[in-house]
Amino acid sequence: MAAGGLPSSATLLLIIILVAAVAVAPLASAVRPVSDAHRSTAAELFAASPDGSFGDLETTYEAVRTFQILGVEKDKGLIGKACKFAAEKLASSSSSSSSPAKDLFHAVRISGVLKCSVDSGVYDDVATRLKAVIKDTNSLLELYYSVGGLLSVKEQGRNVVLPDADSTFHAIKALSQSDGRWRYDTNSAESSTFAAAVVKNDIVKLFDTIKSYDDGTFYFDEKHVDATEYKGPITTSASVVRGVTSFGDVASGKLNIPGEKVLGLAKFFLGIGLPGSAKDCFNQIEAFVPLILSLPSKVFSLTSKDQLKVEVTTVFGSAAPPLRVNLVQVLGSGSKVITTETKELQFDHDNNIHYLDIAPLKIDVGKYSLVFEISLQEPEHETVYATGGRNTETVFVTGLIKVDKAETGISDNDAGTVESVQKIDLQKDASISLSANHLQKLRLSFQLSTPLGNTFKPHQVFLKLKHESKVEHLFVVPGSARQFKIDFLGLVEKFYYLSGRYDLELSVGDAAMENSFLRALGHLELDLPEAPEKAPKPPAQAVDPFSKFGPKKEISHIFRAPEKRPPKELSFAFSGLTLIPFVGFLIGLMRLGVNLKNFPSLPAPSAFASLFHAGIGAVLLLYVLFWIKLDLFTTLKYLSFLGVFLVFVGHRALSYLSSTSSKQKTA
Amino acid sequence: MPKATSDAKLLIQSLGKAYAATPTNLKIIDLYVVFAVATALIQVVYMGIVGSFPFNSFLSGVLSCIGTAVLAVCLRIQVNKDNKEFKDLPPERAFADFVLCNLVLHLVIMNFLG
Amino acid sequence: MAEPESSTAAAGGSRLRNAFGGVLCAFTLLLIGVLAFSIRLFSVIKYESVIHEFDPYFNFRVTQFLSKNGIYEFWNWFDDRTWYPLGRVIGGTVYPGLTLTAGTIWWLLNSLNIPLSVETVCVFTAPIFSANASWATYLLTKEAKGTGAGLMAAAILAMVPSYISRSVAGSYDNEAVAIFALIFTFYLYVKTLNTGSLFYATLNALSYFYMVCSWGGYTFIINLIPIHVLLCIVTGRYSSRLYIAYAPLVILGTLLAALVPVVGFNAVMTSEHFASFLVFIILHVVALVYYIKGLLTPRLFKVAMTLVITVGLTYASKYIPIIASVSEHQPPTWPSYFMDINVLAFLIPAGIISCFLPLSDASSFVVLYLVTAVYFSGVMVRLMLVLAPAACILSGIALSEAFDVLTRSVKYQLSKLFDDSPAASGDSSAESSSASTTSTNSAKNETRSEKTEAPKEKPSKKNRKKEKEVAESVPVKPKKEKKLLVLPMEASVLGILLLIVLGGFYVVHCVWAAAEAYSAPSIVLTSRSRDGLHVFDDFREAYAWLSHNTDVDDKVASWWDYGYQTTAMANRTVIVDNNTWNNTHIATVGTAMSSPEKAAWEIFNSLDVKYVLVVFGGLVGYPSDDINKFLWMVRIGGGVFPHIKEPDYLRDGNYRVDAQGTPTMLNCLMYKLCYYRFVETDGKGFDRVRGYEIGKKHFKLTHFEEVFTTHHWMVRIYKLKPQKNRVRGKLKKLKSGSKASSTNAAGRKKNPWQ
Repeated sequence: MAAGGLPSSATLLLIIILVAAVAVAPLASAVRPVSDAHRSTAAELFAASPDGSFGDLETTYEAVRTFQILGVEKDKGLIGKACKFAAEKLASSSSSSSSPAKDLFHAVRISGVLKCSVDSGVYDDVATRLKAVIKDTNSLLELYYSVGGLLSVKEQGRNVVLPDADSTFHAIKALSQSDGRWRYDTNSAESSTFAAAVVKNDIVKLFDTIKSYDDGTFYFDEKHVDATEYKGPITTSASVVRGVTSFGDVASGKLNIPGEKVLGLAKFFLGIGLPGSAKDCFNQIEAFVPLILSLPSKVFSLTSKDQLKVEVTTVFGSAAPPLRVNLVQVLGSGSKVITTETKELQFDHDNNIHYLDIAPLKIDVGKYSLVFEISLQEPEHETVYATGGRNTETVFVTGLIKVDKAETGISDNDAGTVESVQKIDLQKDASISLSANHLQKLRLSFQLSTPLGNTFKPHQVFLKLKHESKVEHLFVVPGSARQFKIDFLGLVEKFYYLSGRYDLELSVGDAAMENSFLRALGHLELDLPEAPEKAPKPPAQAVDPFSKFGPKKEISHIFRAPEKRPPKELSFAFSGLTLIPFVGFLIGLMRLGVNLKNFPSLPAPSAFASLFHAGIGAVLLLYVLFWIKLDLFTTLKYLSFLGVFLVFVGHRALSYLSSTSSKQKTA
Repeated sequence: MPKATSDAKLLIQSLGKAYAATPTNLKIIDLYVVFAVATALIQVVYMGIVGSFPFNSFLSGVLSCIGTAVLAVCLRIQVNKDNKEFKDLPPERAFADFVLCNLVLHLVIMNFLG
Repeated sequence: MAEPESSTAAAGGSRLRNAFGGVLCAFTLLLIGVLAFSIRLFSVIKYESVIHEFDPYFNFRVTQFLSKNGIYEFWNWFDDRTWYPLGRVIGGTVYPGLTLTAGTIWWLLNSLNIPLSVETVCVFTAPIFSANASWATYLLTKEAKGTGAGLMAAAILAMVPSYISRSVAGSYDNEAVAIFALIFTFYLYVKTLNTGSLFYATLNALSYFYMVCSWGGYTFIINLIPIHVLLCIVTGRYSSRLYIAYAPLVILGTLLAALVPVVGFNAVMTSEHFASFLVFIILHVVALVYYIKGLLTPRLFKVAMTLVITVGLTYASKYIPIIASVSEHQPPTWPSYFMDINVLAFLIPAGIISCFLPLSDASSFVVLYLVTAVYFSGVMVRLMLVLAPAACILSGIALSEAFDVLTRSVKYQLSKLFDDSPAASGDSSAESSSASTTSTNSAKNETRSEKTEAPKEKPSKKNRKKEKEVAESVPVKPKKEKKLLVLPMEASVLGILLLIVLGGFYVVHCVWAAAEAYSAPSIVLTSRSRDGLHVFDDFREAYAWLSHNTDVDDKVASWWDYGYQTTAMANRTVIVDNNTWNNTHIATVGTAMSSPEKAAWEIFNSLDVKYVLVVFGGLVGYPSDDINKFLWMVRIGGGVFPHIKEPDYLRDGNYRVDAQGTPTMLNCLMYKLCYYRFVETDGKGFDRVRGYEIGKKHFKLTHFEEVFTTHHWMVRIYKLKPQKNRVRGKLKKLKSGSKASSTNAAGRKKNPWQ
């Protein structure tokens, strides 16, 4: 559990374990070294504003530090502007911000990163101010910023002495809480762990508060106290890691941190991939510099005598320092140990690759876990890089599988007596011919062996029987069976009672098998009894065998069969027939002597009368239009207009008529 | 039976004579009624031949003929001078009612015709 | 010259009186309309303007759809939020009259910029149309008997409890509009019969169309009118007006009925309409017979008749129509008659007699209407509603006749007292004397009315009506006056007083019925206790919860009673609702409710159900909850799915949920959902409706989880627990590597940064 016994250099401590975590990360969540993608993202995220300040001081510092770590090239102009910005802040003696220490802290760090040239007098002034802050303040943040500022000043070559360090430490301790966290704890994980440098065992307690995601990554998170101040898991975790790092700078002695938690932290950071926000990017980069071990190819073929190749690079993709890689263990499936002797891989300078011949290892085909160990050749690199303990990688070893002793036959139901056995050569398509009825069994047996001579259990073995009507049946042959039997008696219904000629095909395959095959074996004449009435019908086969899983034929739904319609001639004939009574009506009218004598002769009434008839005609025309294309409410609307008109006109016409006729009557 | 047939012939003759005495305008209306009923009969025959699909069209066709025949009969009743109950009603008013009802009937028919 | 002068003066005076009478009549009608409207507003005053019951919610939802989407969408609407997964064709299975009426009113008001909401329009549609119905009653009775009877009948109909029960404000159901359409159609028929005008015949057909749109009871009209026509023919009252009244109605009416999708071709194919066709044919035969009779001599006519009859009888015997049998509803009890029509029950026989003196087409129609309505209401209690207008008309006639006789006696006696000159000496003098005494009598009547006017304006209205009626009847009655009965003064005054008291009782009963018996919205319940009025608004609480806390597409399963309300108020898809058209679907829900948890979960899951809703009254004592309806769930479910056997749930023939309950009962889903955590309320689990402690008190739900229980525990909503992802024990043989990612330890979060 504890990663004890390691040097107390904090960077080394953390990074070793983190790299170990990196190497153990499962293949599924691939972690990658920093790539150009990271760099361009960083450049985009930290887009400078015209005056080169990147916004406020904190953002500026993050930007430049990120660029520094990633190796992003910036133009000189930006550097100059940033320097000037920082210098301004340093020089301003009366800071208007609420937290002068914080500003100074960031400004000093910026100039440190960019290696700006700042007057020494300015730094002395800064140092004085920071010391003043330390003496007066009660806030942990202020303390952190001041001490951190002093440290950066010291790094840049100035001589800074912290007077009365003890009292400072006591002040810090006084602000501690019992659970390893600290009061005033917005974004103070860093400061808290820094302060915990005073009290060592608080760090362990802090690690107890670590949280986890389900895929094994660990992270720190703050309680969601204040939404505006909430920084998020990435920031928090990064702060903690930074804090532990700086603790390691200051303290001596061992650190007992649970290894798996550190592993999880590493996975978390590396698994993030390309972070979204500027802060996340910065946080991700600043944390550590591990080394990564990767295999360019994970499949080795025994046949072609491949070599095992291993590549070691840093997280950022740059070359690793000189080191040695040892193959420590080979584990088979089920953690069975194959070899335990350590083999050193040889280094190819040209391609920057470590390689090893695996043939002498006598590894058979299959899936294996290889355990590697990296050791740095130069001891001072150990403070900068971390190699981790053991890295495990999964590889496949493939080879040619020999198939022999293949034979097939038909046997009767009562176990055993084989009627006919035919040998098959599975190197090429065979064409044996068998015949059986439903009372018999088909037997198939073969042997598979690896290049080293062991029995091989393939992943897939299928036997396919295909009827001439293209109905197929697949049978899975159990991997460990040497013999395979198909009992037709129980399969009569499954075969849909289809007798006839069945084509046989055998297919054997595995990931470790380089010569997986699909062979036609020949055909089988099968005699099955007659299908009873209610037997299920075989499913309709796809028209095109290659489109078996493609779209099926389109089904046209008929919800209701359309009614039978009479022939057109009959309908037309009857339509004509209906007109006959009308003709008869007209003839009858003429016979009766119908005339228009009563039509009014005076202009006004005759106009009304003709309008009346026209109105009626218009209404009938509207009805015809309604039948053809209008809808009910439009018709009703027009009808109301026409109706009003008609009522008016008709009233006038008819009243005139009635008055004339009553005059006739009285006269 | 000879008596029945001779009775029937006498019946028909007297009917024909009595009918000829009706005024012309009533005869026009009667002719119209006969025309409408004949059309309805032809439609029924057609339905008998080809079946009743679509039923709504058949209904609307037949009922329009029967309906207009009924309305014509109502008009005839109202216009008939022998009818004591309606002597106050001017025939023009009866005709106007007739036209109105026919228009409503035919609107409904057109909606139902489909 | 004195006589002509007095006659012209009298004529002028009578015209003035006529005019005054007309105005008074109109004003009275207006007041009757207001009365009809306001007596139905008790529920709005006591509770709020909310839609009642269950069926009105469906109508309301349909109206909402209509107002939002327009009529063409409504006509073709297929509703997929009910009877999931079957859906329901609304356009073809609903009587659209009510919805279209309310929709038109809403549209009209909105186009006039009066922004009433659809709900308000729906709530108040019924009172408005009851006012219309009383006016229609006035018109109908006027055609039958006269204005006085008309006003009387209208006033009675405005208040009759049977009609109030189906048309209070908030009861947005078909009958609210249909009764108006019924009465109006009858009025137009009688009017056509009386006038013989084709115009009124067309209007009659259109009104019949409105009735067909509104209610399934339109078959009553299309059977009553043919019976009346037949009656007229048989009693020798055939006339050409009868032909004009009936024949166009059949043709046009059938066509219009076929236009309504619900009826469709049933208009010509079902036995309910055959009576009309048969009578149509009979009428034509009779008309033809009369016509020929006019043409031929009698002897020949007899010959023709014998010829025809021998031929015709052979056909007629084969095609006698079958009157459709009546449904399975319960017949009413005597007390329900008294509750619903009260005093009218005694006045009806008097009205019948009055109709026969003299008998006209219209009055025979009214009597026939009453007789058939009594028969049908005796078979099915819902048709009491159809009896109500007939009862009101006849009671109105009876009362007005009674008042007529009594006031005339009073007037005559008073005239004998005050008048010195002999009263019986010719028409005009009698007229003038009665005219002069009328004015004094009117003054006397008014004083008397003021005395008897306990602040009820109805009796005084009646008095004024009587006085106006007397004024009207004066020009008509002078000849008859001699023949009529004249009662002694005291008897007639006592009679008038007693009749007024009778009317008073009627009014009191009607108002009480409207206020107490028929105004409960049933969606909100109240109870009075020591500390005031408790309101139980649990149903709406539950529906509001559903509509705010579930997805729009979630399906809710409950017993069919609550289907309409759930779709209308909670706006969620339901499995079964009050339409109950698919028995198998209802049986599926019933089976699920009667099965143990796992089986019920399977059934509900196959129907895509997410939430289950049950109604439980055990905490507050609400008696019509799902446990009391449970026996129907078992019976209906068992009727379709034989594995549900009713004896499994019965102990000694009873459904029990206490410790004596059968294990099947105590394990079924309905029991569990109703009584889950019930023991927490009082520690003992005492069910107030059933009156004992429940059997199984402490249990957990394995396949459902409780998501909401209303304030008084009346509605409880549960959610189906999702299926477990991993099936135990089956997949151990597969390689563990592939399983590593799926078997998450409980409580671990997914890494969002990956």
